[in-house]
Amino acid sequence: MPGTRVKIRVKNVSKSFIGEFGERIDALHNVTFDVYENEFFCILGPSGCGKTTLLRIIAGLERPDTGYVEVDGRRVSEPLRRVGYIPQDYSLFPWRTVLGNVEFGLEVLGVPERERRRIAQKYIDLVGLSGFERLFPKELSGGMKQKVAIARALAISPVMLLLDEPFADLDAQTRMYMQREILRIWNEEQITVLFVTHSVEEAVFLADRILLLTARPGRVKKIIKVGLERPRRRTSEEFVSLVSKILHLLEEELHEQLV
Amino acid sequence: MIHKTLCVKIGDKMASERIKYIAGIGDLLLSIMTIVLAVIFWHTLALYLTFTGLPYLPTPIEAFRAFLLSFVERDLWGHTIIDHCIASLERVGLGFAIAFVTAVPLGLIMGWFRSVRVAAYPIVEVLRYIPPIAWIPFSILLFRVTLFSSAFIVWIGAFFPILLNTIASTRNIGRAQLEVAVLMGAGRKDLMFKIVVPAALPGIITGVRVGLGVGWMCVIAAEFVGVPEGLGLGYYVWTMAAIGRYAEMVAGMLMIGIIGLLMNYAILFVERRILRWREEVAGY
Repeated sequence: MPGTRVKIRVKNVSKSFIGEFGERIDALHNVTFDVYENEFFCILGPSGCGKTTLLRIIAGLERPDTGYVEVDGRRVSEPLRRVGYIPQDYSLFPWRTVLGNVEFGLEVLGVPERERRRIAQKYIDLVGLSGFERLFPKELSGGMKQKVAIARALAISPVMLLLDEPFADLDAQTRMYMQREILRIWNEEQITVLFVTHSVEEAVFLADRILLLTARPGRVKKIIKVGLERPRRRTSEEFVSLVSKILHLLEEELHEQLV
Repeated sequence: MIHKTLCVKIGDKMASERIKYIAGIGDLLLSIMTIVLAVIFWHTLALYLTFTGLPYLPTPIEAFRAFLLSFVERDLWGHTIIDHCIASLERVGLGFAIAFVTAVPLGLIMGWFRSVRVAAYPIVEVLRYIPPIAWIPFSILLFRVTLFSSAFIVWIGAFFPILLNTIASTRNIGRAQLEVAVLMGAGRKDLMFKIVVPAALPGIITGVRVGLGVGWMCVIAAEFVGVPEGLGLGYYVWTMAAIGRYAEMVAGMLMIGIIGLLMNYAILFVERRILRWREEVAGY
């Protein structure tokens, strides 16, 4: 359950890039919102609206042109530490086994080997990969790779999880299964999750609150509180009506983008 | 569910292994056939040249006989071909080892730090187009005719393939992997030894394989010019030609080829072990 303490504060963040032909591309414009402790927070928006850029700014991988980000009350000025970040392509370390991948963060944090093994095993079990410890990423399916990335991110007891469209490349069944899994893990771990997605249905299924961004440059269109009881049923009336309400808002954006 | 799919995958693997095995026999027969044809061609050509009185070429049988005898027969200086092999391998081993310990760290540093790369590029670009053979007079001036004069040529030959492959593979490391590591708390040392080195390893090994091959060619060339104590495969081939023992000359050439081949396969074997995690391991 989300707490009331502010975990992440994003204040007046704008960001632009210089494009291929020297033109200025505004990615984000004056974005402001808070994320609460242990909240499951989704960032939703049309493609190219700066969702990934926003996540990267929060992680400290990129600097905003204006505005600032605070995590636990501290201004972010360099890459954060002890953050579980899962980029779109999972970015597993192919030269390490499943166990080696999950142990990586503990290794760099200087956890002794025996302890490391115990914690890694705990998270491998948590994501349901027991028995696959010795396999290399190339031997795993997409969903299993995704689980390794989640276990690797969780093993360091991160201050928060940042996920960038993690389930986009999975087939529909695996995606629904992974969505239930991530909720189960979030429930067990009590952790703040920032989840970028372009799927309305996914956001409504997962999130406590949804940040809806406009088309480029991304501004805050609306922050939607999803008041539905978990486990949510995708076919329930409230669920469907919320999805269609958000889809309607998104369509306005797409329309504006085209006109 | 996952268990089931994995079992199906393993089942497929066994079937495909069997298919690979059968295909392997076919490939082997094809290879043997080419060798037989080449030997027949060689024999015919040797006979033709003998009858027409043109330049002398030993027949495959003569060469093969000389090859076998060279293991036991001592040459004018009392050495068997094994002694020559050992001498050449020593030189290659020393030169290659020095190339490895110099080129890999330099390649990692040049790949990782743009400024070092920019600074070092002019020197690398000037030096790498000087063929190793062109360094032989310089090397002899520097070291006289010693173990080191040949090892120096091997070093020059092996250095650049290892260096350039290491640089290329270091530069190709995925940014996202580095970012994930940084956010988990990795420091500079962790990034270098836990991400950059393993990620660059396939490139380093490719460089090692190419470098060793070039180094082997270089040692033979260096030995043509001069060797200490009358030892070395290059020297053997050259002197056998000079005294008109052409079958032994060809036998020496065969030996050079066989050792080169074995070295390549040794590295490939090591590569397959170390790089088990890789999606594909290149042949040849």
